[in-house]
Amino acid sequence: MSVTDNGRDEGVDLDIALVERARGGDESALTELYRRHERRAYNLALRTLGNPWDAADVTQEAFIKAFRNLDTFKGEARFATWLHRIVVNAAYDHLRRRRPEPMDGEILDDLSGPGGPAAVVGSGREGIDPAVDGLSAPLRDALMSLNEGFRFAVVLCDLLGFPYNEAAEILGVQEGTIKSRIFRAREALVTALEKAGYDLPSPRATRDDTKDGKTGGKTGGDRNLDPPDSVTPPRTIGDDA
Amino acid sequence: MMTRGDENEGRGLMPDGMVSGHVDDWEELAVDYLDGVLDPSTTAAVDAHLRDCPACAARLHKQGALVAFLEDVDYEAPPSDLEDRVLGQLLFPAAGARAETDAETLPIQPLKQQESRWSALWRRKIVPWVPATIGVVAVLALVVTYGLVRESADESTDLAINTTAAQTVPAGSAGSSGSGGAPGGTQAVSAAEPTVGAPAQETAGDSAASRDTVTTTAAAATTMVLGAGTAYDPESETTPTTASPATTASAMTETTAAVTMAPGTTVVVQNKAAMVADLRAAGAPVYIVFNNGVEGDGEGAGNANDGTARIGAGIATQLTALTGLEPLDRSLWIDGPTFAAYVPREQAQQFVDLLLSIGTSSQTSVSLATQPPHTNAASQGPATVDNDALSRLMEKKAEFVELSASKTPRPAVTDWSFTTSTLPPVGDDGAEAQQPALPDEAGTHVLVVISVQD
Repeated sequence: MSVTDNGRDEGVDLDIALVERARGGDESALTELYRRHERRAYNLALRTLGNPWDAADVTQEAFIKAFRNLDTFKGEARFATWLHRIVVNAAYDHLRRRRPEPMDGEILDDLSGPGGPAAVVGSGREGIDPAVDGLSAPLRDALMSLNEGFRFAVVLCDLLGFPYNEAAEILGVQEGTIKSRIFRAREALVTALEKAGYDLPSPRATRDDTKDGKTGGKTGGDRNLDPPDSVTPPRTIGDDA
Repeated sequence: MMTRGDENEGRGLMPDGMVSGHVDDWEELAVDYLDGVLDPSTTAAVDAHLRDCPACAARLHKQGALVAFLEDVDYEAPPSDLEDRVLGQLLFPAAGARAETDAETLPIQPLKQQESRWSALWRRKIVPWVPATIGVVAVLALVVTYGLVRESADESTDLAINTTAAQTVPAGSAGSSGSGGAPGGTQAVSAAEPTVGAPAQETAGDSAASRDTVTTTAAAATTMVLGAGTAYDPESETTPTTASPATTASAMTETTAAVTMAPGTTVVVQNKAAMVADLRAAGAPVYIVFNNGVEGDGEGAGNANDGTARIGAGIATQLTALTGLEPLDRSLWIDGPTFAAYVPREQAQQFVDLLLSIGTSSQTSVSLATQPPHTNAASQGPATVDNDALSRLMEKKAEFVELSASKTPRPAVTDWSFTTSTLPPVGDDGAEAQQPALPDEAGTHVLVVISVQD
């Protein structure tokens, strides 16, 4: 969604070429392959594990495992899909090995992370406070409170921008399953945030006019979502009867 | 990417164009609705419901707000040293224990791919720990075969015969070892020099003593190797150091043929130096056996209990992947997938390295002998062999390929990679209407028959 189809395909081709070279022992190709995927892989680990230290460990472990087994990548999936599957497995293993307590705001305040001393997290009403991992505490808590299957789904799709079919491949489930999990994950997040007194900022208006310029607004008065500037799926032209 | 109306019918849309129930009944539709990818009629159906159902409308609205919010969350930068940590380990793997552990815990799934690409990757995994483990291969083989022998003491299997080392026991010393007649099969691994006589071995006279004998022999064997070149039996009619391969081979054949393999006979421990030497010196075909344990034997060979055949298949696959050598036709198999090739004599070292690394990685013992392997069915007595398969195999000698090693060009991690090639006829004399000599007859190569026994 955030990447055009064309851009995505080019990236896929580049990955394939890099994998070939890396298999042949080309170190620079390996390095570039790493750099292309490091950030997203790291953020997958970060948002699902809830802290940067575990995330770094898991990311490292996953990349090493992936690159040492480059020969088992058959090209039937995209490289990113294959790689992130390995990250997911590594993260799951990590979660199974240690069941950390849900990260409290208080706990985080005492720890110094890579970004320096953690800022005290204010109430959600003030918006996002940069904490240890860039998330406000209520959002991080809400994420970590999710069942793992839900958490991975919403992180892959809503936070990292994977299309549903790719996310489904990564998690090894059907696309319908992913959507169902996403739906429930989002609802759970909404509930958790409401409980924490965290008001989500209203969605920006851009969502209304991304597609064909027709704002949802009060088209013919048949939108019943309140408030009026709510998320409105774009309508095709001539469809407001 | 519109989802078509008829697809949606299974997902909550009813034939009459309405949605049934509430959002929970059509979660997938709801997700698509929020993304704006539903076709017009389905969208209208959802709209209609939301119009009449404030609860659902509110839920979808909040979801939408959440999604927009989440999509705005920025990526966090990874720690600046993460790249170094990852690439450092990959490109400059630590030799020794750490790399060893990593290599062994990684799943090894051989695939059928082009050999050059394959070989490089395989060796990248294996080589880092091969040097570290070669030193312990002797001990490993000891452990594995010791476990096998303990079982064979009870069952009269012919493992002992299978794993008979190509013992360069000069004919003379056979009698001088102090036992009556031929040594009872207790062959120690000889040192590099073919003519080092076996030291006075304790004969495996009876099965009861065999267990102890193994230990002793093995220990003796290991130490013996270190003393390469030492003549242990100066009084024996040791053949001169420069024994020609042919002589040695025949001496071996005679000796081993004369051996009566009693049940529970001790098993020989192979080690690398001896294998290389034997291979280099062999004048007759050499038989390599990968043996990962007898049926019902769970010792030593780790996970040989379940899927022994699977391990066997894995070894055959590894062999093909690493060398390009394909197994022979099933009719020529000796107790399992069988391969044959001519190995250049001067590359015995590299070849043995390859075999041992395969064996170690699959926890399988590797043995080298100048006698054909004994089939599982046979019992005590002179070594009987699946003669049919073997003679059929030998008939095909001219068809075998050469298996040679060449130095891998940098920047690959590994030093050697193997390839197969068809051999040009050697010594083709146009004058005499003879068949060109086969490579092993010409002396430049050794015919190697590898069988993977389950």
